[in-house]
Amino acid sequence: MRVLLYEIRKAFHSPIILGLLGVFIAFNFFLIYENSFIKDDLRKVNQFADKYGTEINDEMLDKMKQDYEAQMKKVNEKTNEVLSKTYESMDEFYSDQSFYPADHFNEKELLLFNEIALLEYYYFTSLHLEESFQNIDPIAIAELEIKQYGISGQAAELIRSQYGKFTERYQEVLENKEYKHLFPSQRVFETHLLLFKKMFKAILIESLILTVLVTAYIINFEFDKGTYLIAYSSKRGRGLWGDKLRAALIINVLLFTFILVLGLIAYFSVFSYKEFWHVPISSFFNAGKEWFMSWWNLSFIEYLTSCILLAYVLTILFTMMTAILARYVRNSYLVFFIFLCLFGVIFANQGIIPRSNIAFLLGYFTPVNLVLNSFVWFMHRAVTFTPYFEVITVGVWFVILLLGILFCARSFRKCDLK
Amino acid sequence: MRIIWQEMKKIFNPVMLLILVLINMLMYYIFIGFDISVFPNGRPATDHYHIGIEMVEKYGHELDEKEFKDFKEVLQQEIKKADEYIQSDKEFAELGITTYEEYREMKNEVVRDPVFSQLDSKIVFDIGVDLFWEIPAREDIIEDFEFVKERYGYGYIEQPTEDQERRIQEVVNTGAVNSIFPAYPVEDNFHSISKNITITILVSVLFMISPIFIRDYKNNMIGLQYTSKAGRSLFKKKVAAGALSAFLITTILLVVYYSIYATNDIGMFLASGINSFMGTVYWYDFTFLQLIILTIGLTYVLTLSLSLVAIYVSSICKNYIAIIGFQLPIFVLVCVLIFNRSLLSEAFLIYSSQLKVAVLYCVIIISPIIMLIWKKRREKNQDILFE
Repeated sequence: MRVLLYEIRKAFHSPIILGLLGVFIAFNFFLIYENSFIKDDLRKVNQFADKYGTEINDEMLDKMKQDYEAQMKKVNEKTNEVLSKTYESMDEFYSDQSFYPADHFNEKELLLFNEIALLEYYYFTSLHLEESFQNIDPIAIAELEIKQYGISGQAAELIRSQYGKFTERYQEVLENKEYKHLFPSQRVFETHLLLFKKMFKAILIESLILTVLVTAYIINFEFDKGTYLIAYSSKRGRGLWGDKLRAALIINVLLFTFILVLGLIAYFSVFSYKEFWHVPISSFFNAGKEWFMSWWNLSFIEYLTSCILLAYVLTILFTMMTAILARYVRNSYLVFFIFLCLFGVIFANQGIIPRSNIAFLLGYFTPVNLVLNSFVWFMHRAVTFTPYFEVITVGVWFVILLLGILFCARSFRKCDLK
Repeated sequence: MRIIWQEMKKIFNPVMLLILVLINMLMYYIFIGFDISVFPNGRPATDHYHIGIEMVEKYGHELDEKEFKDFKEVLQQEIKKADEYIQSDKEFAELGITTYEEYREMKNEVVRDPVFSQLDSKIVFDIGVDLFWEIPAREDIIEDFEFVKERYGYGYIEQPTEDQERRIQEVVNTGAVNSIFPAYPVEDNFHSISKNITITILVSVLFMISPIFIRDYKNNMIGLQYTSKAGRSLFKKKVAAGALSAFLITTILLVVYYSIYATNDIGMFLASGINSFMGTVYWYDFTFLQLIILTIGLTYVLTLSLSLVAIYVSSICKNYIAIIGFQLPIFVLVCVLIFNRSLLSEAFLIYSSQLKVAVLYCVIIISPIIMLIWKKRREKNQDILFE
């Protein structure tokens, strides 16, 4: 236990690892700051949800309609006074090119207009939500995806054979009304992309870099410092390798938690999700240019939790990968670059597989692909045709890497130290 | 000299070279290859490219009024050909379209006839009849040339400053704007590929140079080196070896990547001015070849400067992880600046402030030199035991 503790301490005594941690956290804050201009509007959307409830039904639409019409009346009174014109909707008001709103109205009025425009957007979209959702053809979207990726032959057939599941899930969403919920609109705010693409990807890549550096540093520490002959001939002896691996795992998980928790706390304190924690992630408001429909009925908080869990597993996978490399390459500098090459090779492997081959689709089942596409985790997607895509990927890689680690641990017992 | 040679031999050790090749193959495959294998990218780009070649062959590198008339003439002939194509096509006849003019009118209608839309997409996208791509491309070029006084250069800046205004007027008035240079595929392709080449070279150079000092430190060589005849002046020699190796790696990779770039077949545009009515305005009157040479020069400046930083970092860090961790933020910052259009060829475009570029390059050139001079002074009085 004491050995483990001392191993862990090594990482936190390294100024460079702490320094990088600081830079990464600052960068995440910067990402949030850069996009913080949507925060006021998001707060208003929360107010709508608070007022009308998040579920979209006739009663709620009625309430919205009354409010909206009352507000429109107020706007028209003002515009009638100033411009002697009235408008049917805010859309019409804003598209009137004959004047600049800022010239005629004060800041407070403009803010009010803005709020009403937002209400209008939410009201109109909610009103037509059912229609627009029914207009979606999941098969057509899948076919388009197949075309975009240039997949053909057997691979395409494999995807097509799963269409039954696609439509089944679509019907389910249609029937249990998962899509009929208020949520920060993708078309306006792109919050899903901000949180799960920008933030999550940044956090994952940052943690990946730290993971590789820390693991290489800890496992090769004795070789780096020239103390290996003493360390591995002590009573603990070669068993130290296992301690080092455990220490690296613990440090990486700790560092990842640090980055993630600080990032998410900052994110959710700037962007309010107060009313939306229990709204299903498949809400049609969450569909923007890309359409996001999860394979299971997950609420936002459940979805976030599963993403965090998956991210933890990925951190562990990458630690194991680096540990295997560090077993054979005793120079941590080379370990880092060989890992980068390996990452690149896994990313680029699909380039040499013909796109009609099923192996091309299997090429998606890698942790690298998961890291680079964090925003479609657990989502309905043609190229990753099965609902268990993430589970299978992580499971298979875990087993392979675990076998590798066991082999390394065994072979290290008898290896030549020089 | 002999010491420098020996130091360079240490830098180019076989394992490192092997990984260098692997890194370059991967980076070529992921970042650079696309701009080579897919050039020109897609349909209107291909047509602009071919029309550009045709114009350069016919009119030279500048377009004057007489040649412009001739170019319009060619468009009329093309339209005639299109008329013939339409008249000989049964499906057009069924829709009652007999000339290209009628086809264009049908196309511009707000609510299109669905049958027409289908036929249109079949002709344009599925069969890909050249005429139906080339005529709009030619019309675009003609329009650009005709409205050069009104529109040229303002596409990217909404409110030009006085200097920008003056520069645009200058380009228009001196006739530099008449240059024939299909910026849309050729220039964009160059911007994109030159950025990726620079980043690939940066990674390669940093990877090779960074261990220069730490390798000796790790092998407990410092004590031996300091007490030898060469002694502390070894620092200077190692810096020289590092800079020389960086220069060598950069040169070799530049030769490799730019000769691959040469297969893109852009030779005929090399002598064209870059401030063309078909493209954007730069602050300076370069030809395309000069722009390429300048970009190569800037690549040298960047790689040499960053390699000096790497040498400095290597001399102060005690372990390998620290060098990587130290340089990672610097490298990312440089990449961001490159993609921000602040460092390479795009830095000379009209919308980027030249003062900013000058300040950036001053910092990039001066800071590693100051660091190394400071380090060299300290090195003279360094306690040998506590390094």
